[in-house]
Amino acid sequence: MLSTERLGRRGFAVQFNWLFVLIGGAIILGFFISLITNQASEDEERTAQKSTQELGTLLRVSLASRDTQKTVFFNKKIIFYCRNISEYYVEGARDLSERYDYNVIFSPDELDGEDLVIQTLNFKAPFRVMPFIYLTNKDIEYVFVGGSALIKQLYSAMPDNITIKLISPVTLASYPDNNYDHTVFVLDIQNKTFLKSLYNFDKSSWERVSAVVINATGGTAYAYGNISFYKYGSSGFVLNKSLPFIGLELALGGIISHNNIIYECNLKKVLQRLELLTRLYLKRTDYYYSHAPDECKHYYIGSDVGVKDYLEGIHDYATITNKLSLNNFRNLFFAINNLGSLNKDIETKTECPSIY
Amino acid sequence: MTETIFVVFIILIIILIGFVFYSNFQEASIREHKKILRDRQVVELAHRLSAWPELECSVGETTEFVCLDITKLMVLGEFINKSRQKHAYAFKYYFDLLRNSRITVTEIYPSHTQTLGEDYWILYDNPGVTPVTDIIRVPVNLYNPLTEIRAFGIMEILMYE
Repeated sequence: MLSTERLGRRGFAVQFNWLFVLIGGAIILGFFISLITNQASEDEERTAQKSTQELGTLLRVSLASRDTQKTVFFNKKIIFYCRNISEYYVEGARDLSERYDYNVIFSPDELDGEDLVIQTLNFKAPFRVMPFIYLTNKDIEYVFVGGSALIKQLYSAMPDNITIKLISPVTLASYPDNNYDHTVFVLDIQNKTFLKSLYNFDKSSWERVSAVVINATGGTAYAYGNISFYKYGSSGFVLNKSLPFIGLELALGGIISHNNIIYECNLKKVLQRLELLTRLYLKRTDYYYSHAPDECKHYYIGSDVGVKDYLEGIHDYATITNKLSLNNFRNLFFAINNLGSLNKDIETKTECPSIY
Repeated sequence: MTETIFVVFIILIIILIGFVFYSNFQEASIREHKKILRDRQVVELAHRLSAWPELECSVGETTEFVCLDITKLMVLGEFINKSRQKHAYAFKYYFDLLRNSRITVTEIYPSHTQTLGEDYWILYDNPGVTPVTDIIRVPVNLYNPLTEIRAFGIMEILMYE
């Protein structure tokens, strides 16, 4: 090996040249590495943004269609947030979230799977209010317990292409943990006690197991009632919250979301939309009254109970958005039913124009 | 030495010119892409509007395809305007869907007088500064449940910045 003395000044210069080449090379290499890293992270962000846009398009199309169902391949984790604002985004793209403040999407707070199942049903009260979108996937197992009319109605209204089972209450205790992302037990209030008997599920898996108990007046999903949301914990199922519903569409929303926060947020949106539409129908009733033939006028605004009275009832009960009580929903249900009956009478027994 | 500096300087200028051209091209392409997206949004909006409970015809609880109820057209324009002034929720709801736009419906057969409130209705008028889409025209059926008369019309949607 040559000593520094023997290399002289020329030797130093040659050594420094190599040093410069090394530093220069490292800088160039660093530049390209940072370029690739940036590109990779931008690509990820772009993919997430594209997925969010794709999902947005899918949902917008669903909003314009009626009573449809589709299964699409969507291999991304979707996160839903529904409180004072409503938004959804694909994991990793929170900044690119899409808002749905004025639309109703019933879904769990997270959806992670390959096949996304989208179902649209129209909510009527008694006129068409808005479409409901239900989002779920095959990695959530819905287990309907019991054979009552209510359970059968809800079971058959669930979307196709999802993981769904109908079991008898006595087999609930030994129901196996099939290791799905989530397992949701759906029960009629009469079978609520069977929830205590579940033993095959690990108590630490509380995040994966929920139960939805439906208490419907008259034992039918087409009436009104309460939906109770339960979470599985170390001491068995624990009640999170009970909230009211009207009709099969809302009950289905409670089951598919199996999340009281998302259900409540969407329920408030439904009531606000119903209140808004009722005001429009009230205005249209006034127009009918001033333009309809004289023999029809009393149906719209009359000395007896007319369309306007029922619409005012619906408007008043739908306005109390902060009071989501069963009593309020009972009144709302009867006002809706009465308007529906009156509209049917106008349509079938008279020559007068119906209100919707 | 001067020669080298000159060469580097020329190369830098060439690179700079390249960047300017590339960014101009990118900008034009982004603008075009944005316009296509907006046009698509307007078509989507038109599709949604024709199935909107605020406008749709319904006879015997069945809904007809792309049919607007004339009695709803008569009250909706004023209703939206008043709602925008009085009710925060209503304003936000309609703005969320319709944004800065102008939406009109014109009956073209049998009547075609273009009289406001008779056979011409302004449903929503919240114009912005510059129109950003072409006027999208959607053919619609019109039905008056009071007179049971059917007509044919055009719904026009124009979106603004």
